[in-house]
Amino acid sequence: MEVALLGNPNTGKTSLFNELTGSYEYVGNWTGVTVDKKVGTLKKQMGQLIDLPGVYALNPISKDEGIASQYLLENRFTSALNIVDASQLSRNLHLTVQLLEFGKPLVIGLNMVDVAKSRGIAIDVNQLSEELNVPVLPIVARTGKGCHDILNYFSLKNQHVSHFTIDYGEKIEKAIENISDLLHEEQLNHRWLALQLLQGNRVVLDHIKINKGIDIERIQRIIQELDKHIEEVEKCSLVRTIYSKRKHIIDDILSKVITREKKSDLTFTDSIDSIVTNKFLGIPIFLGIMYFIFHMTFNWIGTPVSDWLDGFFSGPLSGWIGQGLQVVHATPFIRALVLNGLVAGVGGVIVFVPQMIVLFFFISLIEDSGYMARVALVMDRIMQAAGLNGKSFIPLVIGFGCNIPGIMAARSIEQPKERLITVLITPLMSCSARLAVYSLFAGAFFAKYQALVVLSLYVLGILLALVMAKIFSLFFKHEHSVFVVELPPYRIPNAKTLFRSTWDKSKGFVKKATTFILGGTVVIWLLSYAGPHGLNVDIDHSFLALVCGYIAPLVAPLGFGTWQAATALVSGFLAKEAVVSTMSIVYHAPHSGTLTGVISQAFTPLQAYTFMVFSLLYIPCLSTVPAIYKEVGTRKLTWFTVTYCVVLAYIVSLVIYQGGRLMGF
Amino acid sequence: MLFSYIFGILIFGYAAWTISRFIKKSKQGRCATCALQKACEQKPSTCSNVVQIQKNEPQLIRNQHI
Ligand SMILES: Nc1nc2c(ncn2[C@@H]2O[C@H](COP(=O)(O)OP(=O)(O)OP(=O)(O)O)[C@@H](O)[C@H]2O)c(=O)[nH]1
Ligand SMILES: [Mg+2]
Repeated sequence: MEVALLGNPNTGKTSLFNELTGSYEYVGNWTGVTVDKKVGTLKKQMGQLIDLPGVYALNPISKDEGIASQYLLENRFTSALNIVDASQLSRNLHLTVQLLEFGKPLVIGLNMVDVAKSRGIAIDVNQLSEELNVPVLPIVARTGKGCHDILNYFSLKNQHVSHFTIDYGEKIEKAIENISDLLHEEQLNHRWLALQLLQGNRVVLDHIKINKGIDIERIQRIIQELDKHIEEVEKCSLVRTIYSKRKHIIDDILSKVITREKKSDLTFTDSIDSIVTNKFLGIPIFLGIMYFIFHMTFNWIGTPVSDWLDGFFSGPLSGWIGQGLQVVHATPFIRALVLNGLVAGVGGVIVFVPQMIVLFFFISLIEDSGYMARVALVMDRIMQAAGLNGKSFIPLVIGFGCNIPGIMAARSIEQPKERLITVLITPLMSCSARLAVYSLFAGAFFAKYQALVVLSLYVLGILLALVMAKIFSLFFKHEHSVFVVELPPYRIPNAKTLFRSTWDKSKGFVKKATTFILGGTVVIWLLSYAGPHGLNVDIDHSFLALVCGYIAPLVAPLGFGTWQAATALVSGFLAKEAVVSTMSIVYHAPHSGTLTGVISQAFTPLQAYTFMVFSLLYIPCLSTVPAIYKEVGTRKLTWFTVTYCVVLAYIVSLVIYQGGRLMGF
Repeated sequence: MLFSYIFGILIFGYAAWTISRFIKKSKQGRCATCALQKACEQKPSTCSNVVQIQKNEPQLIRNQHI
């Protein structure tokens, strides 16, 4: 059995998916969280549940919506589960009507009944079910209330096939009939296909084109004639007419099933919005929130814990491991590998886990509260100056966690040109891996102003991204752009979601540190241990120092022309955390105390800041490159992205370092 | 001595394995390698040939309720 989850964006599909499959997928309070198909196994092994991106209608506008439409056309699922937001029924039912016309077994999950109730909206569920002629199950996906009924429903063998037809009027019905006759589809409902074609659904058109021997031209003629006729008679486009017909029916149904107990009060959301989306206050508030987050991450919670952890790793833990190795008579080689390689390298990254947890917690808070969409709105004016629109800011904010989901989130942008530019600039966003680099350097040089220094790097990333976007947009011809963003009501973030989300992200960080970073650490250590003159050479005569010594002069004008810095930057291409783990190894000298101490000897504050800026910009990490390729589709553009990042990083760092020196830093 | 050999082989073996897996996954464009892997794991070919189309329904719906 395969059940597909379909519904408008931000109605709680993924929340239900997580509840029914016991998994954890990305949930957030804005539209366009899920941008890809996700497959999960229903509890009790009943079958598979497919989570899809939210859609307003089956006629896709953005790339993520296209994924849902395509799924509908190409996959033979057993049953569709339509999630409907009870507090926004009239809009949601437009999709429901189209799904009913699709003619597959359907069941409606009436979600957010808690929200509807708090707004004084009472829904007669039985009546709704009767009117639409499908089962309707009320649920609260976020708490799991009623989700059991859904599982029970799917365990029944005989599932309801809906019969629901709207009479679109004589002319349209005639056209539907004519088009249906021309179709050869065996699997899909002809009436539905015809209706979608009349609505100008390109995905459907492309799908039926695959079938040879189909008279596309005739179909298109029928549509054109009808369109002209409707335009003359009704003074309104065909698409609009179909929409109005549906709206009429929906309004009629709703008048029967809904009773309002009191006026809906949105005062809470509205009054917050009047402040946070204020023309003048909006951006300062956003920056203030970011500053607060960094202050929590660095100055208050994260760093004290990290420092303790650092002390523990370099002190007692190393001591215990050293003693343990002595007991088993480990060779000096193994001793060095474990203590100077693994403990220093992997430990050097792991110590930042507390900071990551704090940061991820706040990112999850922003995601689940509903503030994300407001940020998009607030940034709209600035983004327009850069040739984009506010919606492009959401991928950028997601990119703060990790660039890859940020790049993928660009799929929800309607305009192809804007989507492409957003993908190109997202690698400039400061992802959490880079935060490890900042933690190290800001902790060593700017202890008091860590939050401010880190904020400046984030803002620098955003500003440069905007400048680059402006430059890129000069190469495209100007296209009309619309800014469509839905502002969901604020929600008090769900504790469970918050925990899962923070946990999931932090776990990813630890996992990466103990797998790939560990592997890389071993290699780096070996290269620093071995040299042309054999093993256990002085680190300055190791292979690593020799090879990276050639690269060092290239970055010397930026202020860090040592082979150590060059090594860190080279391994940073694989993963940005590796900058830190590599530094831990190459600067590791026995009895020299913590890495922070060594670093503060090796750099000046200006060099340190320039190094942070360079690490922020200089290249998308190895995992990001294929993600870029996947979204932009050409090798050339992917290479271009990598190259422009390097060039930009070099120029900006050069300006900062040389400028800073002129100013006497 | 024996311990050192076994331990060394284990560590280098594990390191080689993690690196090869990382490279393989990176190449597939899957992001098991990224910190937020759940948020972005993807099946290939889900987003092929989606054609961009004009907007034909005004869909800006700001706080629209029933
Ligand atoms: N109050 C309330 N909130 C809910 C309920 N179900 C989901 N939410 C919240 O609604 C928001 C959206 O949930 P998601 O599951 O991400 O929605 P989605 O339909 O998958 O969204 P897209 O992937 O963007 O299409 C989250 O903040 C959830 O916590 C519910 O029954 N009641
Ligand atoms: Mg979702």
